[in-house]
Amino acid sequence: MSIVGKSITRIDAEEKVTGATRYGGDLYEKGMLHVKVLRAEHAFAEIVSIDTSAALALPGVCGVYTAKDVGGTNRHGLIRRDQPVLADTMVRYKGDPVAIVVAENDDVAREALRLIQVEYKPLKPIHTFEEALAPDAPKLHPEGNLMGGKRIRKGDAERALREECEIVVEDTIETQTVDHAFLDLESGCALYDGDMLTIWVSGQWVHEERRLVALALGLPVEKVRIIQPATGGAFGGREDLSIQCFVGLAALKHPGHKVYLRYSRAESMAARHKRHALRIHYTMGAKRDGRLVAAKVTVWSDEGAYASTGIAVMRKASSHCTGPYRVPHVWADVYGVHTNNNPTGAMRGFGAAQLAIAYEGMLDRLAQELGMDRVEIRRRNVLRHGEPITTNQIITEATAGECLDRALLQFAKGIDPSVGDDLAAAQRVWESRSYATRAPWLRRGYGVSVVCFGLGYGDAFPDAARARVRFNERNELEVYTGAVEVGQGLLTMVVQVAAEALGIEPERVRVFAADTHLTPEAGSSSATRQTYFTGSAVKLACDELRERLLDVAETYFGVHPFEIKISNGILTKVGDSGKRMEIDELLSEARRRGVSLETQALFKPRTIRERDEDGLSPRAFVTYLFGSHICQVLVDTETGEVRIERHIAAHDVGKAINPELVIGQIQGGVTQGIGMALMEEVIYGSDGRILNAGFTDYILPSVRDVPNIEAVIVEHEDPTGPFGAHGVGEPPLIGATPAVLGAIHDAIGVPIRRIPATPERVWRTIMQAKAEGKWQDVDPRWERDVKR
Amino acid sequence: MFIQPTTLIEALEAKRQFGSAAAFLAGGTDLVVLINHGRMPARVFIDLSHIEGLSQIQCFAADQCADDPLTRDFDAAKVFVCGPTTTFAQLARLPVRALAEAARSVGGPQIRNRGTIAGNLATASPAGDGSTALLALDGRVEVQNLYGSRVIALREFFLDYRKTALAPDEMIVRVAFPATWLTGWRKLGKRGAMNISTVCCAVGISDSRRVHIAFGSVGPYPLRAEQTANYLTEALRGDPAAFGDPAVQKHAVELAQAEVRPIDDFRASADYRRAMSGTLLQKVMRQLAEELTPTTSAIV
Ligand SMILES: Cc1cc2nc3c(=O)[nH]c(=O)nc-3n(C[C@H](O)[C@H](O)[C@H](O)COP(=O)(O)OP(=O)(O)OC[C@H]3O[C@@H](n4cnc5c(N)ncnc54)[C@H](O)[C@@H]3O)c2cc1C
Repeated sequence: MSIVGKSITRIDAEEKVTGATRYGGDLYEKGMLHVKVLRAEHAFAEIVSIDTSAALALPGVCGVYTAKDVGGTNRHGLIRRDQPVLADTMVRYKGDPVAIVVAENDDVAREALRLIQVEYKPLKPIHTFEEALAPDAPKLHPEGNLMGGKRIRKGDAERALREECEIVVEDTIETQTVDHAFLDLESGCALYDGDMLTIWVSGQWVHEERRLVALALGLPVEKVRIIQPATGGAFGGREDLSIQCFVGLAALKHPGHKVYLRYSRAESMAARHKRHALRIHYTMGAKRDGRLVAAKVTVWSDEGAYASTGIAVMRKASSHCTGPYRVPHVWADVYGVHTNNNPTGAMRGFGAAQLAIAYEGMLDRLAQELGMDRVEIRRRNVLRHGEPITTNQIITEATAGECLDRALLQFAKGIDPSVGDDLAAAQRVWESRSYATRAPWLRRGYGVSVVCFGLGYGDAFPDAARARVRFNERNELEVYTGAVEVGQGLLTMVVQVAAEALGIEPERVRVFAADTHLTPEAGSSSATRQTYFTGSAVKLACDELRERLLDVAETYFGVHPFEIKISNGILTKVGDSGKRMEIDELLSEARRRGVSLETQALFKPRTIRERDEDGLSPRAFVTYLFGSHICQVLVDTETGEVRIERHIAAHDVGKAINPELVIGQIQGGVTQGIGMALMEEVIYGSDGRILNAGFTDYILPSVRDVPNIEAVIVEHEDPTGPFGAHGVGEPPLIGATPAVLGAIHDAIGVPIRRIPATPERVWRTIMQAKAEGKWQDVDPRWERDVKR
Repeated sequence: MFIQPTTLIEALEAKRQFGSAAAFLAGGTDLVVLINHGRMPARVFIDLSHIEGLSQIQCFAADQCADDPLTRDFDAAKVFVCGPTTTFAQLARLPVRALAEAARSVGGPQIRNRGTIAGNLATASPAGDGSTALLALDGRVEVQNLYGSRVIALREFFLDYRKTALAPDEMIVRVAFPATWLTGWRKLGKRGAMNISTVCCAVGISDSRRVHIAFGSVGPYPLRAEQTANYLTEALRGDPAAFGDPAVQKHAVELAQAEVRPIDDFRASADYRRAMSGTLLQKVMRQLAEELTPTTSAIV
C-alpha cells in the first residue's frame, strides 16, 4: 500500500495552524442577532409562571421566547425524547433552559435575561441514589426516578462464588462526574429564509441532529439543513443537541436574520451533559492459581435529569463488565437513576471506561491477595482467539494478550534497550523493576491494564455509513460523507482510504463532509466507529468506481483487469511498465464511453441485540478492540501527590491508516484518562449548581502532569475493516485510567476507592490504611531496591 | 475609562481623583479575570505599563540601606528592592530561593510574563504565592499617594480576606526583601502547572538566624506562623542542626498545625490543609537542614 499506512500531513493542518479555520464561534458577523439562554434558578422546581413583558420592553430586544413558542414537540433526546428544548412545566437541573432572548447585541440580551420573571415552586433537589430512590422522593419524570437497567446472567455466578471459587475479593468503587472540556465552546448561527432553516453548529451526527431539530421545532425534516463548521473536540459532548434548537427557534422567529449564539465556558459546563458517575459493587472470584471463575457486579449510575444516551451507556457498561477476560460466570445488574444533576450521556469510553476501572481494580486486589504478579494474573485470564467475551460473543481475533506483550516489551526497552523483541527478557526486566526512590516516603508503583471495547453502536442498533464518490470535470475525486471531523482526523483518513482504493494521488481527493443537504448519512463520529464505518463506505464506493475504470482500461491494455495496476494516478500492466496510461486519459476515455463516474455505497454490518433476560448476544458488536497500558508513578505519601513517570499504551488498531494520527489519538486519550484518574471532577453544591464550572477549578492535566506517552501501535489486521483498520478513539482513555490507579495501588499498598485520586484522597486513603494497621512506614521493596 | 499615564505622578493623581472607583492595571492577570466574571467594582483603569522604571530590580548592601526606612534593619547583608511591576518571570531568576521558586510555580509562562509582584500583594489572595514567599522574607512595601509615601511591613499589610492596608489613593511603588537569607519553599496543589496552592509554605532564616514562616491558602490571607517561627529560632540557636532533628520537626509541625486557620471548601478540606501545613513545613525544614549543616543527608 502506498498511501494507507503513511503519516501524510492532515489535510486541514495548514488552515488550522494559520488560523484560517472557522469554528462555530468564528462565524459571527456584524448585524447578526444575539441569542442568550435563561437557565433555571433551581435544580428542581415547578414552573408557575413566566413573565417576559419587562424583558420585551427593553430597547434592543427583538424577542423573548419560552416553551409555548416552540412549534414542535419541544422535546429532544437521542434515545428517549424527554428533554425539553425550553422547560415547560418543570426544571430538573440547574442548566435547564427556560427562555431565550433575541437581541441586537450581547449586552442587551444579557440585561433582558435579568428582566424575565419566572415564578417557581421549588422542590428539594435530589443528588444521590439514596435520595432519588427514597419511597417519598419527588419524581423527576412520570415513570419515576429509576430510569432503567440492564442485566447479565451468564452461568451461575452466585453458586460459583460460593462453591467454585477459592478466593473472593469484593469492593465498592465510585467514579466521578466528568466534563468533556473540549476547547471549542458551543457556538454557531442559524438562518431561516422563509423556506429552509439552516443551522451552522457543531455536533457529532448532522443527520440525527436534523431529525431532532425538525421534530422539536415542528418542521419537515427536509426543511432543516445542518452544516458542521470546523470543530475543536467533541468526546461525546456534542452528541446531545446543544444550541441547535435555540438558534433554530430564534431564526424561525426572525426570518431573514442570521442569529448567533456562543456559550461561555461556565455556561457550556452548566448546560452540557456529563460522563456518568457510577457506584460499582464488584465481587470477583477465582481459583488459587489466579484463574477467574465468577464476577458479580451491581452498578448504580447517576443519569442526571434526562435520559440522554444513558440507556446505551448502561448497556455498554454491563456488556464490558469483565473486560477482555475469560469469566465463565457473570451476574451483572446496572441501574440508572435520575437525579437533579446534569444529564449524563456520551463521553469517550461510554460506560466501558468506568467498568474497566472496576475490573482492573479487582484484578489488582486479587493479585495482591494471591501474592501474584499483576502481569501474570492478566496473562492467565485474557481471552484467546475463539473464546467468548462477557456477552458470550466469540472473539475470533482476541489480541489483548498480544497488546500486553507489546506494552511489556516497550516498558523493558525503556530500561534496557538490548531487550529488543525478546519477551522472556522483557519479563525479567519487568520482574526486577525498581522500587527505589530518593526517600522512603516517596513510593513508586507500577500499574497494568488490559482492556477491550466493542466498536460501533452494536446491540442491534441500526449502524450504517454511506459515502458517495465522483470524479469531477477537473478529474478530482470528490468524496461526500455525512461524517463529521471533530479533530480526530476523519477527513485525512477519508482521503487516504479513497486515494489508496483508487490508486490516485491524495492531492486529487476533495472531501465534502457533514452537510445534510450535500452528503449522505454516515452515522455519528462516536463509538470509535468512523474509520471502520465511513472508511468502509468510502472504500466500497471507490472499489466500485475502480471496477468501472478497470473495465475501461481492460480494453486499452488488452489484458485481464487483475493484471492492471493503478498507483499514484498511473495505470500499468503488471510486470510490464512499458505500457502505461495516465488516469486523466482513462477518465476521458470513460466519459467518452458514457461510463458514470459516480458511485455510492452503504456499509451496514448487523449486530444482534443483547437479550433482555440474560444480556447475552452472539454478536453484540461488529468487532472488538484491545489495548494494554503500563503506568509508572511516584507517590509522595506525605502529601498524596502523584507524579506519572512513564505511561505506555499499546493498542491493536487493525491497521494504522495514518500512524501519526493514531499516535495523536492514543496520546490524547491517555491524557484524558490521566485527568480522570487524578484530577478531573465536576463538583455540585447542595443547590445543584456546579461549583467548578470553569478551568480554574475543573482541573485538567497540564503539560507537567503528563509524561511523554509511549504509544505502541499493534497491527493485527481486521478483515472486516477498510484495509484491515478498525479504530482507536476510545480505548486509549479506557486503558489509561485503571493503569494509573493500579500504579497508585501498587505504590501505597491499598486501592483508591473513589476517584479522581486527588492528593487529598490519596492522603486520606493512606491515613485510613494507617488507622487500620495496613501501613508500613518503609516499604520492604524500597529497602530491598535501595540497597541494590 | 482607561487611563494610560506616563509618569507616576499622573497615575497617583488619577487614583486620588477616582479613589476606589479606580484600579491600577499592572499585568491584569487578576483584574481582567474579575472583569470577565463581572466582579470588578472599579470602572476606571489606570494602566501602569507606560510608566518607565517600575520593573527594575536593584540590590543594595546593608550599609547603603541605613537611611531608607524601606530597606534598613533587614538583618541581611544585602537587600533587594524591586519596582511594583516586576514580573514573576524576573523574580524567578533571583537568588532568593523561596521567592524564585514561588515565582516559578505561578500559572504558566504567559502568566509569569505578565503577573507582577505588586499585583500579587494588592490582590491579597489567600493563595498568593508571591505574597506568601515575601511574608516569610519579612518583606516591606513602600506605598505612595500624591502627597507622600510610607513603608508598610508585609506582616501588617494583609488585613482580611482580600483586604490590605492600602488606602484608596495609594499605590505600591517599591517592594523590599532581604537578599542573603536562607530560604525554602514548597507548594502543594492539584497539578503541575496552572496550579492554585492548596497549601504553600515559605521559610526564611535571617542572617542572624531568626526564623520566619509563612503559609498560603490556610487563612483569609497569607499568614505568618509566629509561634512556630519563634520556637524554631530558639531551637536553631541551641543547635545548628535542629532543622534536621525529627523531634524538632515534629514539634514545629504541631505548632504550625495549631497556628493555621484553614477552611473547608471544594478545593480541599480544612483537615487536609492543616495537616499539609505541617507536612510542607517539615519538607522545607529537611531542605534547609541540608544547607544549615551540609553534613546531614536530607531528602525532600
Ligand atoms: C491563569 C492564572 C494563573 C494564576 N496562577 C497563579 C499562581 O499560581 N499563584 C499566584 O499567586 N497567583 C496566580 N494567579 C494570579 C495572578 O497572576 C497574580 O496574583 C499576579 O501577581 C497579579 O499581578 P498582575 O500584575 O497581573 O495584577 P493585576 O491584575 O494588574 O492587578 C491585581 C490587583 O492589584 C492592584 N494593583 C496592581 N498593581 C498595583 C500597585 N502598584 N499598587 C496598588 N495596587 C496595585 C490592581 O488594581 C488589582 O486590584 C494566576 C492568574 C491566572 C489568570
